[in-house]
Amino acid sequence: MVKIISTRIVFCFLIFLTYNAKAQDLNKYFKLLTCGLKQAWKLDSVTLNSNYGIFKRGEVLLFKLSNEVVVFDNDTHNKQTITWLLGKKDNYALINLGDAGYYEIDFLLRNKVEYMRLRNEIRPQKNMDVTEYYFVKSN
Amino acid sequence: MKSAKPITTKKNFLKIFICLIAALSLIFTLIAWFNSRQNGNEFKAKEISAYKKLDLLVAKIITTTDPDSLVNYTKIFNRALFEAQTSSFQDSVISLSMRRFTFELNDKLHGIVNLLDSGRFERTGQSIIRTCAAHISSLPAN
Repeated sequence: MVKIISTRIVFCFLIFLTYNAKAQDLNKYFKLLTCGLKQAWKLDSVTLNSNYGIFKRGEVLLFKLSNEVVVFDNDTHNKQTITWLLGKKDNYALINLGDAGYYEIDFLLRNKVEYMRLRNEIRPQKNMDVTEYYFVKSN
Repeated sequence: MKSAKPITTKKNFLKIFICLIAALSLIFTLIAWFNSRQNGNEFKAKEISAYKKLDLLVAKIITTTDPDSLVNYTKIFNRALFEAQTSSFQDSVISLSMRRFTFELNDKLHGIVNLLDSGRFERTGQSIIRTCAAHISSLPAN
């Protein structure tokens, strides 16, 4: 009986550790995305389907810790507020940007410049293009 | 009694004709089955060979430290992947892993460092090797 209970306790502890590790992992994404409170990211470049992209070059996304993101369009001076949510799927961090959909989110370093990359879903079909948005810190 | 003889001959002829058709269709079916089996075996052998080749290349790519070797292996890998995709790839899990790996490889070639997941390139490669091995072992034996 004691053996069964101790096995269950160890099992629960392992589950707790797994969830905790995942939450810790996501926390790092939260910190880099919002810099603790809010952070503006400017779209620097788009790879592959720049004509079909949902974000335009020069657009600024202001991520707030309150799960809101303000999208500024410099050309039209439009401002739109949407919600953002972070999650994990198969070892990849995903961000949900409301109507803009789900994107894989990564923080990268290239030539000593820090980038945030949003990439739409990779599918097995080789003819399905993947668009990557590279953002740089705006302030 | 005399008129019954041609009817019996006709019946016999019909029986022989039906038997002949049945025998011919059986022979054709057997030939078709044998050919399809042979084609299936050839296709499977080709598929296994493609997976093993890609496995080996992925292993070389993720373990190499020399940038020139990385570029060379990448060229060979891309060619092998293209050939495999046009001829043998059926499994969507492997196709997805391969596609993902090409993106990670592209990052590596461009000197991009993932700040929160630095080991992703190697992990994606290892995942392909595991998936391919599992797929090869799951293929039915002859």
